[in-house]
Amino acid sequence: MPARVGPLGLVLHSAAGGIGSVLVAVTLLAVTIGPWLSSHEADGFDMAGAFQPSSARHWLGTDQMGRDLLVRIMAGGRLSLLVGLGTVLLGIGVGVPLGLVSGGAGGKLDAVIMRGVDILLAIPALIVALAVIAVIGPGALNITLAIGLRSIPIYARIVRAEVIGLTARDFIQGARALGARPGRILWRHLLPNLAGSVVAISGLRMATGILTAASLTFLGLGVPAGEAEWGAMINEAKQYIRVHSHLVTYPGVAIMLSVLGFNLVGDALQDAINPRIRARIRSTGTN
Amino acid sequence: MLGYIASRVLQLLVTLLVITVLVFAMLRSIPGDPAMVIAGTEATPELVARIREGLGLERPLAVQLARYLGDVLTGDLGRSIRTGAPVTAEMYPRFVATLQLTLASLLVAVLGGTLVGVAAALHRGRLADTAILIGSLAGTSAPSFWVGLVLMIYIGFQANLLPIAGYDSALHLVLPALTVAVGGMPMIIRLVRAALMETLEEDYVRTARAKGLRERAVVMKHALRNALVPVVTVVGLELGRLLGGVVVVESVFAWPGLGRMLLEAIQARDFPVVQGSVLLFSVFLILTNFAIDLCYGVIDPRIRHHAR
Amino acid sequence: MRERRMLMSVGALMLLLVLATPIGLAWAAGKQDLVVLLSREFGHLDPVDLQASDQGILFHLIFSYLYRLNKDAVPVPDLVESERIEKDNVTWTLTLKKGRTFHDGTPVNADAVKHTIDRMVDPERKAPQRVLFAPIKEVRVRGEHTVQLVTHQPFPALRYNLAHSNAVILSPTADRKLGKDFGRNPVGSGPYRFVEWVAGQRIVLQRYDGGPGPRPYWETIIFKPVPDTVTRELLVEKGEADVAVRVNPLDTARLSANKAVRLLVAEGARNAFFQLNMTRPPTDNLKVRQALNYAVDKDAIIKVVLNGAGSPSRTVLEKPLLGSKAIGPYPYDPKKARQLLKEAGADGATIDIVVSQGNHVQDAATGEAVANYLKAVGLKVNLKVLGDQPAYVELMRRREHSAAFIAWSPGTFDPDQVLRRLLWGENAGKPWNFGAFKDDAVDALIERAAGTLDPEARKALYEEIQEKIFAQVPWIFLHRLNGVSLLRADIDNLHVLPGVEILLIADARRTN
Repeated sequence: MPARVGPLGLVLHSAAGGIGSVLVAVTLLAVTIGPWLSSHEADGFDMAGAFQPSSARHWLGTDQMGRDLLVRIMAGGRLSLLVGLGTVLLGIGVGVPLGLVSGGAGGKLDAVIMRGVDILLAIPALIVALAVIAVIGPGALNITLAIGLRSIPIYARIVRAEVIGLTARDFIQGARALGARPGRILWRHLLPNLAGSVVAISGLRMATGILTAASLTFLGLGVPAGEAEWGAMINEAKQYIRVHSHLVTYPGVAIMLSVLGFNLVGDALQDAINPRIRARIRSTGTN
Repeated sequence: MLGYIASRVLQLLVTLLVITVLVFAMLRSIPGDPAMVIAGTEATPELVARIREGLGLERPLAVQLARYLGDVLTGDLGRSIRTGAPVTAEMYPRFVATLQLTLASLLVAVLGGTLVGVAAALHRGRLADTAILIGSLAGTSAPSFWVGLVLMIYIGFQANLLPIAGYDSALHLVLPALTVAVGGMPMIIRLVRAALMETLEEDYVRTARAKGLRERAVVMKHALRNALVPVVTVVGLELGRLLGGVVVVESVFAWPGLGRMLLEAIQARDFPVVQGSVLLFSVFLILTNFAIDLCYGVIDPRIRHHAR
Repeated sequence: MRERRMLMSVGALMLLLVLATPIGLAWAAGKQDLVVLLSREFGHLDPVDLQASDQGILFHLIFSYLYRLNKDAVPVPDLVESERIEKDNVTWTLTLKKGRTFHDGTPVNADAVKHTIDRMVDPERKAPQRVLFAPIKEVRVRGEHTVQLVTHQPFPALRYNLAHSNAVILSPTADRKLGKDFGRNPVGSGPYRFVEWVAGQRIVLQRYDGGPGPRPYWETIIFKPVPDTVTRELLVEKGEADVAVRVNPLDTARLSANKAVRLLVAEGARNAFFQLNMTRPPTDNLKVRQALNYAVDKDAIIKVVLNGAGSPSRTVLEKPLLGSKAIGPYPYDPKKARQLLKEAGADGATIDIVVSQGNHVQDAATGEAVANYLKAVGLKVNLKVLGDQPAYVELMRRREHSAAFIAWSPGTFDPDQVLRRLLWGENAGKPWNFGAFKDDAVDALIERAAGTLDPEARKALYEEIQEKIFAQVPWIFLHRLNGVSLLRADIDNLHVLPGVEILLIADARRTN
C-alpha cells in the first residue's frame, strides 16, 4: 500500500515541481541576502571601473556606474518580486471574485462588472500610471497598484469565461439538482477547475508585471532612480545593448529564472489541487 | 436577441461616456502644460498664458468637457494641438497600420500557440512539456525590445533576409509581427495546455487502448473545444490590448501605429489626440468583447441556455 | 464541424485583410535619392515654433533666408544682395536678389519679406519664435526688391536673428491660401520643394529646378522618423538608409570600425549643466554651490557616460556664442568640496536633483553620475528622473528642487538671447531662469551690451558679464555635448552646423 502523500510531497514529486522549488528557494535566499549587501556594494559607485567584463572580483562584471552587476541583481530582486507578486495577487484577489460573481450571477450584475472591466482595459496604462503618480505619488506600492489595475480585468474575464463554460456542463447541473449549496459547488467543483487557467496565466502576469513596471519607471514612477530593480536596470541598459549586452541579458535572465521558479511550483500545485491527478498519484505512486 | 443587442449598444454608449470623462479628468490632473510644450525655450509666462487661452484651456473644466462632448456627438474630434490637423484624419492611417500588425501577430500567436499547447499537453510531464513550459516563459520574460532587436540583427541585418524596420512593404510586417507574437503566444500555449489536460486526463486514458486513430482524434476535438473558451477570451483580450498599439514594438521597428502616436501625444499633452485615440480604442475594445461574448454561445451550444 | 469552419473562415479573413491592405508605398530609393532618419516626429513645418531641432534640417532645404549660416556658423547673405545700415543705426536697408521665386511661382520680393515678418510677430498668432523678429519695430517696403527693417534700438546681432533656422521667408500666396494647413504643406524658395507628408512614415522633398545656380544634386530626399537609436544605426549600417541623426556616443567605437559608414561629429552642440536654485537652501549658499562644482568629476563623466563625445563646459556662454570666454571649469576636488560644505554648515545636507530622461543624450545617466558624486562627499541626494518632458518642466516650474538638468542650444548664437532666457533678473523664477539668478550689475551690463554696436566693445562687455556670473556659481558646470550622426561612407560634403546640430544636406554628394 503506498503511503499517504501530503501536499508537499505532491509538489515535489514531479521533476518540474522539484526544480521550481529549488529556484524559488534560491531566489528568495538571494533576495534576502541582497539588501544586506546592498548597503555597500550595490551603491559601489566607481566611474573608472565602469563596463568591466566578468572577473574574479566582479562575477558578472560592472554596470555603467561601475557597480557590481551580480550584487545589484540580488539587491534588485526584492523590489522586482514585490511588484511582480503584488500585481498577480491584486489581480487574483480582485479579478477572480469579480469573474466568479459576474459569470455566476449573469444578468445586470454581469453587465455592470464587465463594463467596469472594459473601462479598466480601455484607458491606456500610461495615463493611469501618470494619474496615479499625480494623485498618490511615486513608490513601489503605487506602481504595483497601477499595474495591478491592468491585471484585474484579465483575471476577471478569464474566470468569468470559465465559469460560464463550466456551469453549463453537466456535473455542475447535476450537483445543483442534488441540492448542493452554492458555496460547496464553488469550493469542490468550480475552483479546482479554474485553478488551471489562473495558475497558467499567473506566471506570465508576474513577468509582465515586472517588465511593465520597468517601462513605467522611466516616467519617474516607482522606484527612485538608480536604485536596483531588475526592470529599471534593463531599461537603463537598453541603450548599451550593442556594446555591453550583458547589462540587459543578466537582469533579464534573473527575471526569467525567478518567474520560472514560481511558475513551476504553481504548476505542480495545480496538479496537487486537481482531484483526479491527486487520486492517480495516491493510487499509483507516480504521475 | 434584438433586445440583447439594444441593451449592449446602450451599455457601449454609457461606457464610452464614462471613459471619456475619466480620461478628460485624468489628463488635466497630470502635471504638464501643452502651452509650455508649444512655447518651448521661448516660454514666458505671458506667452504661455496666451497660448492656453487660445487653446481654450482657461475655461472652466465643466465647460471644456461639455464642449468636447458636444463636438464628439457631431463627429468632430477636434484638431491636434501639435500638428493642427484634424484628429480623425490623423488617427485613421495609424489605426490601419496597427490593425495590420495586430491581425498578423494574432494569427501567428493563435496558430503557433495552439499547436505548441497541444504538443505540450500530449507529452505532459515529460521533457518536451517542461521544455515548452520554460520556453513559453522565456517568451514573456524577454522584453519585447530585446526580442525585436535580436530578430532585427540576426534575420534583418546579418542574414539579410528581411527589411529591418519601416512600413514600406508587406515584408516589413514580418519581423514586428513575430516580435509581438512571441509575447502573446505563451499565454495561449499555457491555456490550451491547461484546458486540454483536463479532458485528456480522463478520456485519453480510457481510450489509450482504443483501436485506431479515429477515436483519438474524436477525443482531441472534444478536448480542443473545451480549450476554445479560455483561448477565445485571451484572444479577445490580446486583440483589445494590441489594437491600442504596442508602443515598444512600434518604436523599435518604426511602425507607424496607434501606440506610438498615443505615447507621443501624451508626452506633448496633445489632449484632443489622446482623447480621440482612447475613444477609438475603446469602441473597438468594447465591440471586441461583445463579439467574444457572442462567441461563447457559438462555441458551446449549452451556453446558449445560460440565463442572460 | 461548425466551429472548425467558423474558425477557418475567421482565420482566412484575417489573412486576407493583412495581405490585401497596401502597406505604405515604397519610394524606391536610387543613388540620386537620399534617405535621412530623424529621431522624432514633429507636428508641422511652420516656423512659428520649434518642436524639434530636426525641423531645422528641413527648413534649410525647403526655404531660403535673408541670411543663412554657413558651415562655420557665420551669417552670410542668402536672399540679400546688398545691405546698408543707415546713419540712425536702426534702419537696415536690404536689397534682395532678383529673379527668385517660391515653389508655387510667387516671386520672392520685399512684400514676401514683410508678409513673413508681420505674420510671425502678429500677436494673434502667439508664435514662440516671434522672438526672432522682436527687435524689429517696423518693416517698410521700399521697392519691388528693397525692404527696410527698422529696429527698436541698435541691434548689431540682427543678421544672426535673420539667419536662425526658423527665420525662413515663406510664400505669402501659399500662406493666404492654406492658412492653418500651411504647416503641413510648407512652400518656400529653397533648393527642395515639399511634396508629401505621410504622418508617422515619411516626409518627401524633391529638387526644385526654379532656383539659381547649379541644379540641386539629390532628386528626392526622404525623411523618416525612427525613434529607436539602435534601429537608426542598424538601418544605416545595412544600407536601408543613408543618414541617421543622433546616434549613441557609446557606439562610436564599433561604428568607426565599420567601413561602410562614417561618423559626423557636431562639436559642442549643447551646453549641459545643472541649474541651481539660488533661493532655496542649501544651494542659496555660495560655498555650497562651489562645493557642488568641486565634487563632480566632469572629465570622468565625459569619458565614461558620454564615451568622449563632449568637452568640459567653462562658462555660461560656451562657443560658438559671441564673446565666449573660457573661465572654468572647477577641478575635481572632493576634499575641497567637503571642506566648503563644512564651512557652510551644510555637510550632510539634502540636495534634490531633477533630471529628464530621453530628452538629451545621456541625460539620466549624467544625473545619476552627478548624484553619486554628491553622495560621495557626504550629501544626501534625492534624485528624480522623469521621462515625461512636460512633467519635468512642471517640476522645474515649481522650484522645489536644488538642481535641475538643462542642456541649452545656442539658438541665434547671440549671447543676449541666452542670457535673457537663463540668467536675467527680470526672468528670475520664470521660464527658463528657474534658478532665480538675479544680479543687478549683470542686468545692467546685459542692457548695455545689447545696444553696443562696436563688436570689440560688445565682446568685452560679454566677457565681463561671464566673469561676474561665473563668480556666483549659478550652475554645476558640466560639459558641452557633441552630437554624433551616422552616414553611409559614400556620402560626401555633408556638414553639421556647429552648436545646433542641424545637418546641411543641400551641398552633400554621393561619391562613386
